[in-house]
This record gives sequence, structure tokens and C-alpha cells, in this order.
Amino acid sequence: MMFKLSIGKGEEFLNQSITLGSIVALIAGGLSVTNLSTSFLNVGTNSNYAPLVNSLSSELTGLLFAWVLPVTFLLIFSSFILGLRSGQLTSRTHTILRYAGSPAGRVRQLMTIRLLLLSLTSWLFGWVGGLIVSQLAFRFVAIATASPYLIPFLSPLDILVLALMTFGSIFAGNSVLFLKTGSIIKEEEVVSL
Amino acid sequence: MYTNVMERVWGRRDVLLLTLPLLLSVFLRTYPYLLYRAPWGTDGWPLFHNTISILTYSPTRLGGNPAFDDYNIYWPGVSLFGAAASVLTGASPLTLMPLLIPFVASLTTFVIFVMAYRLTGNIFVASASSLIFAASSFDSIFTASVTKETFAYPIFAASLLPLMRRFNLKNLSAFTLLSFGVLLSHYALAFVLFLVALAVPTTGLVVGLLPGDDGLKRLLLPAALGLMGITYYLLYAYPSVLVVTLTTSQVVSMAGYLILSSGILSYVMMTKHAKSLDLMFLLLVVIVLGISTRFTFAPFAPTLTPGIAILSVPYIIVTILAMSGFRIFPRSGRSVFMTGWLSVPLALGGFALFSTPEGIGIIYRILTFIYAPASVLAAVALAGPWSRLRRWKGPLATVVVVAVVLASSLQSYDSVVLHSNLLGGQWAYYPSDIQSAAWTQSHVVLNGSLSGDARVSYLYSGFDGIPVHSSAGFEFLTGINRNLTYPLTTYSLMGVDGYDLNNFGQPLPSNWFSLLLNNLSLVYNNGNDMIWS
Repeated sequence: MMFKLSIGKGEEFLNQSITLGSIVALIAGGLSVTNLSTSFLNVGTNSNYAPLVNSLSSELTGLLFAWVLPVTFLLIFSSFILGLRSGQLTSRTHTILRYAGSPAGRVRQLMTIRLLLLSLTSWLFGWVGGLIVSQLAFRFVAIATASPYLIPFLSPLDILVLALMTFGSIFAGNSVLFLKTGSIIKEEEVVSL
Repeated sequence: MYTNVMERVWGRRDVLLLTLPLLLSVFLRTYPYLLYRAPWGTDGWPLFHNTISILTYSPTRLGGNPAFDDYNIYWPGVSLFGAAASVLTGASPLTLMPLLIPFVASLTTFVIFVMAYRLTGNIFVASASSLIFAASSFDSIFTASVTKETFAYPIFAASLLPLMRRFNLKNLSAFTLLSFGVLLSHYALAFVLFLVALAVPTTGLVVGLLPGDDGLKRLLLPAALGLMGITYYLLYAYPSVLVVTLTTSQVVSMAGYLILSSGILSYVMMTKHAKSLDLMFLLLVVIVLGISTRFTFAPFAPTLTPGIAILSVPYIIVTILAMSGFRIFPRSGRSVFMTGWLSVPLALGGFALFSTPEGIGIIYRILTFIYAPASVLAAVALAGPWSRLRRWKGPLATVVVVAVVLASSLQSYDSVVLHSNLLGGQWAYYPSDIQSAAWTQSHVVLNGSLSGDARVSYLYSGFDGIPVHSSAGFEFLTGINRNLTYPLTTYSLMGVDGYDLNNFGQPLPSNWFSLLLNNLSLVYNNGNDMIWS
């Protein structure tokens, strides 16, 4: 019941999760490809492809740094916009709950659960999607160009970094709404007194 | 819907529906040995060696004993079973095991029958699914040979039965006992079982189709297997050379594929939406197949001939039917089991193909694990509510099952009788092969080392303990290296399938035999095997 109330409309929740997950997937894909190029060089493989991989690696590393900042901003901005939309969609449920006599903390609890679920699903589908799409792409490119198959990968640390990034930005993006909802609840409490 | 197998009153038709798949299963798995009077398949030779050593030296220590190899003896289920059967019957392992172990493997079909019946309560579904599974070439050709997997698969399938039912102590005990049998026989299969046992309650808890209490308690099953596995490895099997090992980044990738396949299947199961996913999956299968006829899709994978691609048509039909069956399958605890059973091998297939550099060594073994649940779902689709075809449904479904079974069985014939290279045709051994290996062992040839392909290596090295260098012979025959360090063993099938390296025969130049005649002298010849020096 608690989960159903916090999720609200399943379709809307899924859309938000997929949107945020796609952004996380972009970061995860970039990370996995960068890992691949650095590990290839670190191994010290003596190969004709070394200059190509070297330049590709530096390009990718540069690209990643150029990516991370705007993509993180994009993640925070998207979660903020989605948070506003989410607030619109769930405010009716929250109001009903308040009028039905639910304590003020319960609404915050519902919001927290929703944000946790949103972060968890976005993170999960994000890194899984990013990693697998990059592996599929590299496999097909390797076939098309008859080049050796190098496998993009993510380390457990990358997964942890992505989790911190996703959970952090989603909570940060929704913090305004969270605080605002809190103040509305306080006003309502004053009025009811 | 659910009827217990034991509670059913069995009519003559029902008995026939059970007997047919069993007979087909036993026939397809035992006729290769009966045809050639020598063990079918390469992997059995070290296992025969271990079994004979157990009988010769018992009581003795298994692990770390030079009488055994340093890999198979750490998973000794099949060898212990073979030795016990040999003592009981008085027959030698080399005569008994090539017939007995494939017979044991054919019992997987019976377990599939029971599972399908428990899942659907429909005897037609049970019979059709076990027929489709029994005829599948990748299972029937592989399990006609003595391997650890051949012996472990029916135990693995039986271990899945407790996963279909609510948690209770009886089920936990049955699962623990059976899964220990799997662990003792094959570590990779034990790992797959662990993943399935974990996937079922996890999926059930996430989608809310298993009651919370039951779902959580079911996690005790993988926990028990995991604990047994770790203990077994730390106490006994740690010196074993593991053929499949995983790095941390590969574990992350595998987890990714597991999450993806479970997620997609759960979504389809719950919503019955996203029909485009079916089309995408089918398209992926056709693209991979199409690419494989022109290019090498994965390292060491062969380029498929159009003939082999055509032979895959029955599997594509089963895939389409299985996708339809999955949508028809009612949402319940049993559909959660189906999702877990199917998602794990699908995920491992994706992982093997896209996340490992040499995935082909794993992928051809995974097909049989995907095909078992797929055949049940295909049969569900055939028995489905096709209201417009009510009059024709029965005959049409029968025709489809018979066509799929015949087309799949044809591949076994193509492999066993016609020695088709890409279907394992070089797995046929003759009594003369065993004679040549015995002759070589009794004659010291240049420090006991030989060169020969993988087929020769498994027999000479795995059974008789003669070191064999596989690449040296290939390099000589293809002209890469004109100096042959070790005597070379050839056999008549080499002229049909080429030089067996990396799971199938590599083509040899047309003059390979005259090259041998002109440059080397013939040391041994029994009409089939020749040793050149």
C-alpha cells in the first residue's frame, strides 16, 4: 500500500524512471568505453592499433570530461523538472491523505520512498542499459570493420560512483520540491490549529 | 488447472504421450554408441580414465592424486556413479558408461515432462514440450557423450522442481540434496542453478506475485546452495583448474545482463505489453544468424553454411511459439518460476556473446538451458486459446510438433551418420581409435609426446596420458611450419571434417595427405588411424 501510494500512477513513474535512466545510461556508456581504452593501454599490448587506440583514448577521456559536467547538470535539471511534474501528479494524493488525517511526516516519508525508488530504478536501468548497449555496439562494429573485439566494461567502483551521482542528483533536483512541500504542510498545520 | 501427476488416472493415450518422448530421448542419445561401438564424444575420455583409476586404486584420495587429472576429479559425480555402476554390473567402465550415462541424460526429458505437467496441468503440453526438447540437436548430440554436464543435467532439472513450489522444509531438504548432486557433478551447472534459485524469489518479490513471507523464505534455497558451493570449493575443489573464471568487471557485466533479462521478462509477464520486444528479439536472432553465414560473429565461431542456417528453422519456429506462449501463460507464482528459469540462461547467453572475448566456448552449451523452458512455452502456445482455429487446433499443433521434432532429429543424423563438421561430426570414435592409442602408449615415441588435433588429444592425452600438441600438427599440415617436432596422428575422418581445433574442424589444404606421404614416414596404420614421423 505504502509503495503504491508513493509511486502513484505507474505509467508516469515508469516514464520518469526511463528518462532519468537514459541519462545515466549515457554516462555509463561513456565510462565503459573510457575504461576499455585505458585498460587496453595499461596492459601494454604491442599492437598496430596502439596509435589509433591511444588517440581514441585521449579523445574519449577529453570527451568524457567535457560530458560529465553538462550531463550531470542535465541529470539534476531533468530530475528537477520531473520532480515538479511528479509533485503535480502526487499533490492530490498528498492532500487527500492530509485531509484523511495522515500525519505530516507521512507525506515526506511517501516522497522519500518515491525518490528512493526513482533513483534506484534510474540507476539500475541506466548502468545496465549503458553498459550493454556499448558492448553490443562494439561487437557489431568489430564485425563490420573486421577489427579485434574489445569489450567495454564497468568496474564495481564505477557502479558506486554512478549510484552516488544518480541518488545525489535526483535528491538534489527534488530538494526544492521537498522543502516546499514541507512548508506547505507546516502552513496547513498552523491553519488547522 | 494444476493436477498432481501422481493423482491422475492414467489412460492408454496418456501413457503413450509419456512414453513417446522418453523413447525418442533414449534412442537419440544412445544410438551413436550402438552405431560405432565406441564412446561418442571427446569429453568422456578423461572421465573414463578417472573412473578406471577409482576402481583400480580405491580406497584412495581423489583430489591432488596423480592417478587422476587435475580438473575433472574435483567434480567427480559422473566418475563415482560410473565406478559404482561398474562394480554393481561387473561391466568395464569403457563398455558401460557410454551407454548408461546418455541413458541417465535422457531422463531430463522425463523431468521436463513432469515440470510442464505441474506448470500447466495439461498432458498435451507436457508431452509436446518433452518431445521438442528430446529432439533438440544441441542436447541430443551433446548428451550422447559422457560428460560431466550429461550426468548433471537431469539432476539440475530435478533440482528445479522444488523451486516451483511454496517454501517448506521438505522442499528445502529436496533442493539441498539434489543441488549437492549438481555441485558434485558440475560447478558451472551448480552456478546456473544458484542463479535460477536466486532469480525466482527475487523476481517474485519485485513484481509482487509471491507472498512476501514465502518469497523471502525461498531465498534460503540459493543461500543453502551458495554456502555448500563455497564450503565445497574451500575444503576440496580449490586446487582445480576452473575452465570458466570471472573477473570483477565480468561479474558486473553478468549482473547487468541478468537484471536486463529479468527486467524485460518481468515487464512482459506483468503487463503482457511491449509486443515490439518480441519482434526486436526475433530480429536480433535473425540478424545474428544472417551475419553468421557471412562473417565470423564471435572469436572462434564458424561461418555458417546456408545448409546449417536452414537447419535452424525449427528453432526459430520454437522461439516464435515460446514468445507467444510466454504471453499466454497466466500471471501467477508459476509464471514467476518460468521467468526465473528463462531469464538466467538468456542472460548468460547475452553475457557470453557480448561480454567475453571467447564467448563461443560457453554459448553453444547454454542453448540447451534456454531451450528447456522455451519448449514448455512453445507447447503452451500450441495448446493456447486459438478460438478461431478450434476445429483445426489439435491436428495443426500435432503437425507442428512432428515437423519440429523431425527437423531437429535430422540434425542428429547429420552429425552422427553424415559427420557434419559444425554439428560435432568428428565426435565419432571407432574401436580402431582406441587400439591406436593403446598401441602408442605401449611404444615410447619421442618422450611420449605426439601431435594431433583435439579429437586425438582427448583420447590419447585424456585416456592414455600421452601429451599431445594440437597446434603443431595443424601448422605442419597447413604449411605454416615445415618442421614436425612430434610424430603426427591422423585419422580417416580428418579427410571429411578437417583438423579439429576449437570445437570444430578447420579446413586443410587439398594436398595434405600427399604432403604427409612425401615428407614423413608411416609408423603405424590400422586402416583408420595413422601415425607419421
